[in-house]
Amino acid sequence: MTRNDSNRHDSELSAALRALAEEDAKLSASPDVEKRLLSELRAISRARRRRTWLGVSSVAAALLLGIALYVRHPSGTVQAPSAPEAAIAEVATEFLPLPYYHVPMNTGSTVRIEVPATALVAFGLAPRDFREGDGTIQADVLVGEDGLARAVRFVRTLRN
Amino acid sequence: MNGVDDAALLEQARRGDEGAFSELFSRHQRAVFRYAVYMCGADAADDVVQDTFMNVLMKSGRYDASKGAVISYLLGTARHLMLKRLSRSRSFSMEEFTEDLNVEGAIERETPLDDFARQETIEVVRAAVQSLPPAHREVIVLCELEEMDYVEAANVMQCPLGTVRSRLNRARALLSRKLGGVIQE
Repeated sequence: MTRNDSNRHDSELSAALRALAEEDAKLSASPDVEKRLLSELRAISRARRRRTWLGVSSVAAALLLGIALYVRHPSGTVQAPSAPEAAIAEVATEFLPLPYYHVPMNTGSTVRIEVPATALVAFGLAPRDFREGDGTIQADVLVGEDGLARAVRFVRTLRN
Repeated sequence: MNGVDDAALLEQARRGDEGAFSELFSRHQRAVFRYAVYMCGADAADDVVQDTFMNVLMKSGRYDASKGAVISYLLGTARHLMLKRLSRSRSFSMEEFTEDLNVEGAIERETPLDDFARQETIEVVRAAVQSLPPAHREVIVLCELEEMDYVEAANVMQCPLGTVRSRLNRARALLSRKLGGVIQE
């Protein structure tokens, strides 16, 4: 085959492929595909709105709880420790999972709050001689960057 | 929506904007569909289109505009999903899809010219493309039928630019041999 033949053959091949591409331009997915995708998109949006609403309401609930606890047990100004810092020790439980523990998080922080001692009952940690109205107990709540509380541990301060 | 670029449409669609999604879909579903028809058959093409768009809607943050156009991203996703789908079939070999193997064998298979008397020229060309080994078929679909440049095709095929070039040359040579009698008509 001469170079001219080869060039001619090459351009004929290109023309044949162009003709095929023009013919194929009509090919299209079935209209049902777009309908199904739009319905999935709506379902995703609904789920996202629900998650956002849950997140916002959880944060709001946590804030309200915090405010309520503060109102019931105002800590007032920070008191100077009566003993040297070195003499104060803390014992704490393990972190115990809360309902949102399975929601992934990238960063988190612990917030120390005071909760009614009855909270211990909910976790099966109340001492044998526990009575209703036994005051409050300190707790560290692990909160994700999304505001959802993942875990809690209860803390007791020991003074030597 | 007509003046909005693909990347913005994708972002809006991921946030739940149905109008943006419809525009993006109408711009690119045909290319994804054609690619799927050639690479894994017409029966599976609708499913591939659906899975591809679903996949890109769900995986936010995965599109990087610096790595190529949205159409390359969509075709790359379609390719990934098709490979997963094909790998479930026993006869599938990943090497066939990624390596330039069995070129001579492809020539020896029954050529579309055998049916020439019964088919239109265009159908013969289509059959010739479909009879190419997957790696060669893919480069013809992307570079010749979808008119993608080598960079975009390399993006979709996840291979170096030089491989696209050499594979395209071999694929064209194969097609020429298969279609020798037809395109000189």
